[in-house]
Amino acid sequence: MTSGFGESTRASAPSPSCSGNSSNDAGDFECNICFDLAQDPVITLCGHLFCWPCLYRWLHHHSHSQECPVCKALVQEEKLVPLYGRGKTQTDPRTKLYPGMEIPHRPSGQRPQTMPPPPPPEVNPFGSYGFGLMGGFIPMATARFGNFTLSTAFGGFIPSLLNIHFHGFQDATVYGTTSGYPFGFNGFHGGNARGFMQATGQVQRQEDNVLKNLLMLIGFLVLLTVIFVW
Amino acid sequence: MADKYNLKNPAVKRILQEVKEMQSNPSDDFMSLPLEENIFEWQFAIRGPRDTEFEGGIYHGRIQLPSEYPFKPPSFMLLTPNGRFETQTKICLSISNHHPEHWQPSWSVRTALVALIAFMPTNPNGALGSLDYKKEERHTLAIKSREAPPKFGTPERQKLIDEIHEYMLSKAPPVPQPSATEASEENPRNEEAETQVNSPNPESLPAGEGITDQEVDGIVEEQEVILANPAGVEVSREVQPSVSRNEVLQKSDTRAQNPKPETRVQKHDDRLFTLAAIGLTIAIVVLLLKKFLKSTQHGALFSDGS
Repeated sequence: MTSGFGESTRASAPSPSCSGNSSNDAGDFECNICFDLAQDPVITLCGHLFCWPCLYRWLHHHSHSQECPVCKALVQEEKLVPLYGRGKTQTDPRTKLYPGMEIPHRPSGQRPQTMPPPPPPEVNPFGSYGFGLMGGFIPMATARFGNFTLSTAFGGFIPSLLNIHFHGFQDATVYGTTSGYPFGFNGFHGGNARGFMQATGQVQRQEDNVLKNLLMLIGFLVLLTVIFVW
Repeated sequence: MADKYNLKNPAVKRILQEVKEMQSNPSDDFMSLPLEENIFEWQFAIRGPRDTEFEGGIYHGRIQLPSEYPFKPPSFMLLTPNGRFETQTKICLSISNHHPEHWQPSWSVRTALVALIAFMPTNPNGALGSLDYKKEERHTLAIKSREAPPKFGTPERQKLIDEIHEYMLSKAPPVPQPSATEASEENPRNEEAETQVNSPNPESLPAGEGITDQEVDGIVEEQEVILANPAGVEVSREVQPSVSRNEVLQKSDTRAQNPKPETRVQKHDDRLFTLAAIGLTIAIVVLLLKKFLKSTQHGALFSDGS
């Protein structure tokens, strides 16, 4: 009762100042349906302001189609924008516009994404890679495959390396000897190898996986060749 | 007055709000007041539109608001004979309860009365509760309507009707009287009235006493819109959405954010691909050589057998 009376007084207060003017400035925030200060205000895409209970009742109980009560534009509930002021949410059931009705909460506003934060300072790639080197067997294998790739750059050593590799599939002892050979290369080109690795740390791992697949394919082909000999 | 009614009822609150607006912004073209005992029963009076055969007439009527107002449309009934709508019968309009599907909850008694004034010069087209009298008869009825208000309802309602009639008499100018000396002038006026009613854009004559230019322009504009479209109230309302849409477009433009795409060039990726391709080529060549050598040995074995 008191709040209702207060609202009516507030609405009538600007009238004397607008006696000569037909437009009422106080009506800017009044609901287009109940002509009172909007409770739980929502705005449609066409820009018309309503109380959420008034609009909900119109859309769900009286309207034959989802139309704006003012301009008959299409109203989609998911595209309604609620207005949040500084007032507290009224939980007093006595001040509800339609006490007997069960009205859900207002549709939430569509909040755009937060602006992405500025990029962080450069992390030390040598440290992270060093930590990787000190890890288990997998990083060791990664380094070895990398060195193997690096060794292919030298034309003079390719035939001998490949031949040894193919024979290695028949005898495990020779494979051990072959595995020792890349370590020699690592020692000879330590500085360059480290620099090369640091530049492309993550991509190197993907390439190593590809090389693993290639080596498996080559091994399979070698096996086929051996079977052909039989 | 507010203490008598149940303020928890949303329809009552809405009606009280309309009464306050009516009293704070009175119009010279119409007046309406609710009954003291029942706020859902209104009495109204409208003035005949200018430059028509209804000019100067004061036509009384009654409005019944539903309990679910403003979600349901009201019903209108005219009490003064006018030659356009029947009396004591609910009239059929897009703003009345005959067509609830056309009703808009943002409309009010004020907009309905403005529309009713604008509907008077239109062609009834056989609508329910409509009449199609001749212009001379309508003119006679307009003169008669000023003499005395209609008799209707309870003494309280009659008192309200008399009050409204006095107000309208003080506001509306009298019916233009045809006389012997002005007979020649009256004829061109009638012709002008006919052309203006038929033409889509009637021109407004100089304003009468007690009427501001703003009201004249506003009413004429609304008449033009309503003449073109029977649901004129909708058309007049549609002017605002276009403006608000422009504002929305401007806001959307300012809010538009185009983050720059991040381009990352990986220099060493090409090297790895090149090395992989070289390795693959060399492996294929070696395999081909192996296959060639073995085929040669097989040929040798074949020759030994023969």
